[in-house]
Amino acid sequence: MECCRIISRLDIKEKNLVKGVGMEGLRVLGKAYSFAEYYYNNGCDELYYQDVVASLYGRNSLYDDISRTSKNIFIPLIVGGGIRNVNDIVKVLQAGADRVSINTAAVKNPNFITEAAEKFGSSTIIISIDAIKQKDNTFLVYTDNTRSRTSLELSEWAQIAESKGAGELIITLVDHEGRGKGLGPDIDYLSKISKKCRIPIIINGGLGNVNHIIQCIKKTNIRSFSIASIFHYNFIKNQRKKKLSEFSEGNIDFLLSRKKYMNFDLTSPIKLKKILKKKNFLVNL
Amino acid sequence: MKNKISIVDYNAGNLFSINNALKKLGYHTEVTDQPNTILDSDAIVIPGVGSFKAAMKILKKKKLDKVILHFFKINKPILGICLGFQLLFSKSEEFGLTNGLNLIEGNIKSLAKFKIKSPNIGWYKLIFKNNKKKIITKNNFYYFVHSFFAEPKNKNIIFSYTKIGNFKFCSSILYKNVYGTQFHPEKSGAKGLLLIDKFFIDNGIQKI
Repeated sequence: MECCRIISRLDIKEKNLVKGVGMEGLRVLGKAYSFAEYYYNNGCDELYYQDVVASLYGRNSLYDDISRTSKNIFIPLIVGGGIRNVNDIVKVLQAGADRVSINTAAVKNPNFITEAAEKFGSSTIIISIDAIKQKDNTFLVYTDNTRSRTSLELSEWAQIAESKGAGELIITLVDHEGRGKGLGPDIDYLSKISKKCRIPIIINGGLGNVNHIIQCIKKTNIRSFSIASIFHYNFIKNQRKKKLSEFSEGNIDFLLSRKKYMNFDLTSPIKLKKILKKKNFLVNL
Repeated sequence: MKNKISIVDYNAGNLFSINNALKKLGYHTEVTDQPNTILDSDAIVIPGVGSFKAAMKILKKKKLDKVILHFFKINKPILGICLGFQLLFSKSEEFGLTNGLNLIEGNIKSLAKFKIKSPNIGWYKLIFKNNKKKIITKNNFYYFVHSFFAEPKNKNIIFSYTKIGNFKFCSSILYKNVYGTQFHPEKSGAKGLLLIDKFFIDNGIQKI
């Protein structure tokens, strides 16, 4: 049995950690680094920073976050969002990221994957795929933070990305993202992709409790999970109001109202892993 | 007197994380590709992510291959991580056969040939031989990201094994003044830093 890998995903907009639902309606939660540090100290296996604005401008604060993270946090760091060419990868790696995730630029030019994999090693290049279920039950790939629909089918694109030299895939089924209700019957689709793929896959989004994770493991054999809401809201809930205002630049009343927590079994990475261990799954504890 | 650890810069990425880890532990470090600076230092780290062939080419071009071999001969501590560990071996089958530094007899082989999902990414246990029990911590998982693995000819130098399913491979070696790890101790949390610290403390490297 392979060890489960619990990845904390942090969506970053300028200098803030944000979280949305279905990748929309982003709300500011606080300063990303405070969350990252807490996750590192509480059993998280890996960090995943996603720049959701991905603008060419105003990325300095992202580089600052990456650099501060790599100086103090000694687990792998994936950085994605707005990576368009080899030079962008160099900048992110030089700031201290270990691996990068690429979405739009890879769809536009699949040979970019090969170019990047040859230069930085396959394992450094992760292809992030956002897919939305269509009326005919197929999943199509979306780019530009789900603003643009492509004609690529999810499993087809996964195969292409692998053949072009990607080292890993991060798959988001966008309809489930931020809802914490699990992936339901759509897990079967991921299971098919997992069987076909020879490179590892990370499931991102939609996982609201430990049972959702266990379902995924059992049905897909995937062991890597990228998780945001249940960790973020748990961290916020456990902060006193006074301390919250120190790291949060968001709407604290909203954060304290706990309205958004309903679907989520709030927990920290370490508590989540302890439950998995109790249920006989292998975890890094 | 503080000692200096040089991190060998051969354009193969991830110099920063090992440098940050060593600094956090309190060591005096320098990232360098200058032969004289490296020879003057008290210990070296050979980091690395990327391709074996490209790495060897740059090491040779910068004349760092001879520098590392000399460093080994004068018995100063060497830590090789991931690709930096693989480079110490005789040859690799990555992109055809490529000769390595040949400091350790053995070959670098492909995981895919053994039907292992590749690259292999994640946290795996180290299985130590009995006499090395003293460094086993309760949590024994370390972070791996690799498509190749080392097969040393002399099994006595194997410090730990790791298993992916039923497939068992050498995940670290301890040979004379060399400690080599397939995993990334600098990315394995506090216990990974502990492993790095222990190697340099055991070799008498003093902190700032």
